[in-house]
Amino acid sequence: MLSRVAENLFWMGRYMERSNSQLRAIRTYYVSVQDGIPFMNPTEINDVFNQHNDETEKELVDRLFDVIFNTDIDNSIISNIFKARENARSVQDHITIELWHTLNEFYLMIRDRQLQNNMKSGDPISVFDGLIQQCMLYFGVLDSYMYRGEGYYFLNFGKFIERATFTLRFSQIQYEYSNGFKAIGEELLTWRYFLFAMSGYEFYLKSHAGNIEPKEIFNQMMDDVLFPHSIAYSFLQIDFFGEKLSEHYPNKDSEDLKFVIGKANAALKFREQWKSDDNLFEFTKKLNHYILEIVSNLNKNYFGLV
Amino acid sequence: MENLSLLNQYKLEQGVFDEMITDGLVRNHYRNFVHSFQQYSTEAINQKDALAKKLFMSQGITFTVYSSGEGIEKIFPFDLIPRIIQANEWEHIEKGIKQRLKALNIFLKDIYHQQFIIKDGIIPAHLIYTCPYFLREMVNVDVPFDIYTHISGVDLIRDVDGSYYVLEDNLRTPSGVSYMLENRNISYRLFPNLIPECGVRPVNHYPDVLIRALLDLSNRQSSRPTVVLLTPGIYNSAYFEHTTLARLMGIELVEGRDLVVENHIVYMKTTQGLRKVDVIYRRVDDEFIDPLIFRSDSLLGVPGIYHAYRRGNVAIVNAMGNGVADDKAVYTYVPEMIKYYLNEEPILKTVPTYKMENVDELDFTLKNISTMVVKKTNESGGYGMLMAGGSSEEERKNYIQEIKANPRQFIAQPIISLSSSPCYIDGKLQPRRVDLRPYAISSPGGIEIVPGGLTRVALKEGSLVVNSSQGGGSKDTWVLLK
Repeated sequence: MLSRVAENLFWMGRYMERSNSQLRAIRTYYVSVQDGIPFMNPTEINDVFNQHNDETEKELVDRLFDVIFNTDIDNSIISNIFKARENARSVQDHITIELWHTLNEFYLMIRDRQLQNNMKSGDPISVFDGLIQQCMLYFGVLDSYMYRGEGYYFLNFGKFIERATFTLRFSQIQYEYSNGFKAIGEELLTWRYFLFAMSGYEFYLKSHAGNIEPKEIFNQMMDDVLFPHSIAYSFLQIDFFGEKLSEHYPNKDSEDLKFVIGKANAALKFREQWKSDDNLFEFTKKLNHYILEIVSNLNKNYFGLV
Repeated sequence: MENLSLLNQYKLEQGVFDEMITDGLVRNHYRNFVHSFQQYSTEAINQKDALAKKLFMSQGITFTVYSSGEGIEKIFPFDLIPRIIQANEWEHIEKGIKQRLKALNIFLKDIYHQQFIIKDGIIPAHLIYTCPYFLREMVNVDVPFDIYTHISGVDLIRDVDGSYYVLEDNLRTPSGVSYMLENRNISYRLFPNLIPECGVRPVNHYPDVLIRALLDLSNRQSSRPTVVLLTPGIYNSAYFEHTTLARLMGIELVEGRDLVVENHIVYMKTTQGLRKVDVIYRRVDDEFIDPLIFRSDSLLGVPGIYHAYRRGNVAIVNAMGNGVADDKAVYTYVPEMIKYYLNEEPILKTVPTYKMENVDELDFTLKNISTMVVKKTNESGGYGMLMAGGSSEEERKNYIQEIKANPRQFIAQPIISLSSSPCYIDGKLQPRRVDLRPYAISSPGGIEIVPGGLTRVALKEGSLVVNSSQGGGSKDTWVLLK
């Protein structure tokens, strides 16, 4: 496979995963504000999503509208979908026609003026749901119709690198916003919304019914391999696709890649218990570094980037 | 109940050959279609029309126009009424195109080698040497199997008597074939069962024919040589076509930056290192293909590819330097070429063409400018053209000045009225002018033409310009089995 194609597939995977994660977070955030318990700092909403927008004085719906539909903002959902589609366009001969159609329809949908008007003057929740449904359709089509080859591996590298990054960053934001493991009262309730945003509420209840415990939630985000949005799960998947790549093309590059993935996995598996805030921040910083190391390895050995 | 009003509303243009109607009656080869079409209510046809537009959009069969960082998607307008060609007519077209391409291919081989056609006084030498697309770099370069015109899209038009004329041969990088394929896919959905009922010949094997021709060009002893399609990139208006063809043929779609030349061998940069490339179906024009030889500011090509080609280490499709045969002044000599090289009479007619460097012909053109179309010899896509009816006095004056300043670069032709074909516009059938671009593939095994092609249509009432860049659209082309 061409290095350029591999890189474009990797970024297509990243942009789609980013859109999916952000949409779920936006939906939950909107609901939490309606409930009177926002789980993010309302004035920093653009910052949370890595978006640069100076107009912080806007009303909530207008701000969320920007987060989703403003094409001038680099990381808005519409910009992500546009970029994912541009990547898909340049690799159309490496993805199935079904996947291309799904992504193209998503792009047409998010540009639909009626949908955008509905966000401002109708029911924002149904807009979020419609977009999330389109994400689910994309992932379903990817899973059911995309052949398992190099292209699929790079798409999934992108998907799980992005997921791990999002989980890590979002967990840090929540930790800081809610006073960490010392959260009490309303602060505790924000952890519940955080679980919703991460699609982890039901799973958390299975073992912790009736007990919102920030430390346990944080652990679920980091370590629990049964929870698909945990960092451990993402690392496991990255490891799996690294193995697959190495099976197809056993060489030094794939050995190098497996080594950096192994290091990241080991750091998570053999971590110490949290003793203090500093200790936790140090750890998340280290994890972030390992994620970047995997990306650097892909850039150098597979995408031909220096 | 038959919807007779559709046909009754169809008003023919005077002095124009209509594809569907003659002497007030539906032509035989249109009857099956018209009968079935009349079973639909106006509302049902409107729904089909809307469905066609939706399908083109949702499948991403679009041009992208970029402005302020965001792409604006535009579809190539599609008219749902097919253009139907009867079997014997197609046979005539097929024979005529094959004959023409055979002669043009020999011409290109000749002009870049011994130049017998010049020495024998058939074509003046200065005509060749003043053509900007005659590449001196191709002189004495042997191309694989002596094939230059691997893929061509010959533009055909019909005059008032219904006879076919060749307007252009398009021997460089003709586009539009993906629309031929997609138009057929849309027709299946708009008119269930009608295509088999009418006995229409299939076109969807075009990618198979093309990949076989490309594989045959490799000089490597391998069952699966590496064939790639070289595209200028996603910003090219024909990018959809490039991806479609690459996908349907199962080959890599590469950009210039994906290829590298080392020791006169072309490689592509893959995740597993460099991989040798044997055949390149390029959709990048000659002038951009190698910045070391042609335009040095080109980022679309591959440095060193020309020398790899010259050494025979890679096959490039179509060959470089074909532009000389596309020159509209050289076009006038194609009938002579056919006689000279093949000793045959031309099957397809050529539009009478006046060369502006000839003083008498220039005078004649200026006197009869209202019935002429003047074109630049090396432009295509409907650009650089003066049609008396569609221009102001001022424009005409400026254009004539341009002609006088550089007469070699202009030719004039009488305006051919172009045949009309029914189109469904604003809820009724209306005649619009059409041309036809069949696609021919030349391989070591011979020339193959997929029965069909792209029918382009001038959607503006009275317009004779079918180019997509000038408001043209397209329709499916049905060639009947019998």
